[in-house]
Amino acid sequence: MALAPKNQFRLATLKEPNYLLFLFSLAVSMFYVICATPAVGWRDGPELVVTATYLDIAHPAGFPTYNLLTKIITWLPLGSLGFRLSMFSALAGGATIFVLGLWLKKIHLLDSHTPPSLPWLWAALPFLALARPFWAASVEVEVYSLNLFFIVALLYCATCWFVGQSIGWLMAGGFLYGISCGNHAALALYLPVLILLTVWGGPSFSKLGLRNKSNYTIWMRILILAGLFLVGVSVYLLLIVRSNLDYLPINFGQPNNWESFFYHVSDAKDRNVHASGILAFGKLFFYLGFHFRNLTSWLFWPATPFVLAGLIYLWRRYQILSVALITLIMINMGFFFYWIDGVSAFLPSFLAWFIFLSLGLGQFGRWLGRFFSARRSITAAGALILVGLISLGPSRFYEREIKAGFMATELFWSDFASLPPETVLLHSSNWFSAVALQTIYSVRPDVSLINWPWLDDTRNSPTFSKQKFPMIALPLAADGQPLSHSTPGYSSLFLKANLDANKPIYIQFSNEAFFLSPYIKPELNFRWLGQILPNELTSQDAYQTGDFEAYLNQTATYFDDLALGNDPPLAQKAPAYLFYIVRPVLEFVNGQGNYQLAEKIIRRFFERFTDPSTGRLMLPYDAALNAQAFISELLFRQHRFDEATLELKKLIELDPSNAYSYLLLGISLASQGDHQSALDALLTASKKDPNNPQITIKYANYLAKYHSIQIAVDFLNEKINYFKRHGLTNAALTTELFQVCLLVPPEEPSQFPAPALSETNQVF
Amino acid sequence: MNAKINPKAFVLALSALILLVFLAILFETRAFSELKQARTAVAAGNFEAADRHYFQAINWYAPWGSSQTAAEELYQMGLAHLREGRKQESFHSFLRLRSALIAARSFYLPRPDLIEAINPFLALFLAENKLGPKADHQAITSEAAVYLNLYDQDPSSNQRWYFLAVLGFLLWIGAGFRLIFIYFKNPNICTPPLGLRSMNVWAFVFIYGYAMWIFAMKMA
Repeated sequence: MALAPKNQFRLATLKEPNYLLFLFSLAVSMFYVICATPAVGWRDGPELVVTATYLDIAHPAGFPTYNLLTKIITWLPLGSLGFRLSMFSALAGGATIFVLGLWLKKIHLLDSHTPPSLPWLWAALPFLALARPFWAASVEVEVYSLNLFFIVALLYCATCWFVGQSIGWLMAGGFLYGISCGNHAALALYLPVLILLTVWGGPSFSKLGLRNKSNYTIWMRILILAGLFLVGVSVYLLLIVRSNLDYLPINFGQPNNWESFFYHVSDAKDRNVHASGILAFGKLFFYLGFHFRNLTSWLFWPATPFVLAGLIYLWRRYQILSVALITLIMINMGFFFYWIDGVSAFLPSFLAWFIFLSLGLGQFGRWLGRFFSARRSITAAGALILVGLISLGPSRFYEREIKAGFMATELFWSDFASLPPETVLLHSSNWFSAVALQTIYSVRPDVSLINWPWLDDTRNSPTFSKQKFPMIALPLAADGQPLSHSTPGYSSLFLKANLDANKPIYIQFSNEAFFLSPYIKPELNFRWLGQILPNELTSQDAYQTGDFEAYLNQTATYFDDLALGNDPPLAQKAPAYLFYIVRPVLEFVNGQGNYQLAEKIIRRFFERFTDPSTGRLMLPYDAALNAQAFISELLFRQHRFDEATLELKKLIELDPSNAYSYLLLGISLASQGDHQSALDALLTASKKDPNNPQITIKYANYLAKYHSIQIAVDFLNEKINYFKRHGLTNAALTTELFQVCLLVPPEEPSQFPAPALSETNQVF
Repeated sequence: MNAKINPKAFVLALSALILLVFLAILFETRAFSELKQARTAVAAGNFEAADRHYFQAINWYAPWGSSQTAAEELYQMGLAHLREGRKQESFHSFLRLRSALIAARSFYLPRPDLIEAINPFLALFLAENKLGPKADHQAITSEAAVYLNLYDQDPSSNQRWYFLAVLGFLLWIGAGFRLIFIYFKNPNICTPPLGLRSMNVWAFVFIYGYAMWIFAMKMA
């Protein structure tokens, strides 16, 4: 029976593999969206959200193509700006899968002798989609997902030209290459691959060779391609045009002249890092082994034979393509040699290896076709797709929490929201997150957020202006005009101007803001502030992995090596800053109940910064008080009362007005049997904080215990009246309740023997 | 449906529909889950957690549904704090609400009525905080006016120039590709056929888009 038109259409849809590939890519994108980070994310994510929203200048090389394309999705009236950019990465990831699938299909159609099986070529796609590095790039705000899309699209253009469609594909590739270099300048490194394809490639290609092409043809191609590339790469004009504007939230390096422009787009800031990697021949084999292990682990060890089979197939059939892909891997690994923890840097290599894997699987499918029917072979490929989805999908789904938290937004929120009006907040390594809070969330428009290493860094920092920071005070020259940022000692002048204008100045250390104003002396040269930045960056790894001892060691060594020996003003301040840096670690360890480690850290700190002649801590007053209180309470919590007593006495010496120190001292002394001193300490505590019912009850408790219940009751009567007179209702009620407990003896328990008198005393 | 329907258009329309339904379900379930947690926190008197969950519910902003309810409830909670004399808590609730709505901005600012209602309170709170409780009313009012000026600035304004910049960019990129495929039709010939009428049109679009891109970027 003939099929009805409706059914014919349905069959046509299902039989057309491109539609299936499209729907699969859509499903992959939707899965990425489920896992995508909901807010601004970490590391460069917050910066990219800001630069996309305002078409700003991001860190080198600036990413203008990314900013212009993602600006479109910032208008989508769904979710927050941060999540919209995560969705963009997810869509770019799905699009990469789709174009790669089309490219694999083209290879299948191209080969008339030994065509790899199409279902088996595509069977590898779920493994790519769910492989950790590719998944990670597709669920966060980053440029890498779009970068891979461009690489695959360029490969597609080159292959279309090879199969003789038209030279327009090659020229479109050149134009696209220029645009894609605007997404990530590292793509420019792959120019040798493009030259290779342009010079040796061509319609009906197979083997490497010039094959009768005239010099004129080759030079014409190169010239036109170079021109189109330059037109595409002119997207970088965004940097020059936008960096002249005063009010951009992020204007990294302010590349508004050709010199700073080339410095920025060539990432000269990190030149040494890359150069040292390339020149590290001594460790060549170590790093090669590392990368090989990494790549194979991303694809699974059992996949290695298929990778080799794919490589051999490509070499035998399309030599030029295999050479191009191997060149891509070598350039990628050579340039990012040292970045062993930067998974995203090696995504192009990973993609090339994955292509070999797909082709190997395609050949395996063709080989299976000799023994089994096409239907069985397709079923087996479908089973492999299912294995990929089932084995990797759930683990990626559960991993989504790593990316999907709001932590990056919440980390600074309470600090930021609670700052006094018109604060000048000096920030450093987490500056991108703070900028996102200020510009994307507009948390506190009255707070001026300053990247403090930039105060003395005219190379990377834009000019400070009132248009960008309406509430800051700018240092003025004698003629009343704002001083140039390149004036020597600008940081000191800037801070002095803001101190004179009564602006509170805070500094952000390890996710906590500290009030800095009392420590700033106008004559102090703040150029050393920039030196703290590398310390924060290097020790942060130890902090994040929870190796707090390593963290402390790195931080302390840094201060010893860089600061204490070289800079007398810093030598005075270093202990305070070190304490501010380690305090969050101490609080975290303490909160976890790991008192031993907390004590070890604070003791090291005390050893390092106690003046041997006076026995006092070389800290500014409030930091010393903080450190002393910390160790006292730490010992007290561990019931090491004799040591706690000594430390508490030092604390009281520092701050005789603190009633809480006397309370702890009283309890410590009582525990050691010094009852009279304990009572004296508690009486002092009660006098220093007469409104505190906790101190009142503790003192009355000890009076009852060491003198008599009547004396305690009289004292309590006096205090109850005091609380009532001062309207402290809750304090009066609590104290009355305790008084009742003292006056009413407990009932004799019917089932247990009555406790001995000494035990009863212990209860009170 | 009949056989004349273009399968490509059908698959695209179907995909768009699937994507839309998927996003609507995703946003609503996540917003509702946060809203529920916020209500639990309010019932337990944990206002800091309530602020956080309301804020995160609004993060799943859609022009309808639970995120809108969350914005309304957070505003009411801030007002309740204010009525009961908890100025600090009310400041934090309003700050959260304002930030969440601003972070959800598109070519428009969601719920500008709420933001307009909140800003004077935030400005006054900051002014009182800066000048202290003994400052006279006149001084506080003039200080608050400075803050209000800052807080009233609409970060979603000026989108017209941004839109033109992006449109210009897409125009010159699109026209560039079109020109390439018009010029270079043959497999291995680099000499283009000149004088094509369609080429002139696309060349004009390219130049126009490029100029618009540069000019709008300068103005945005």
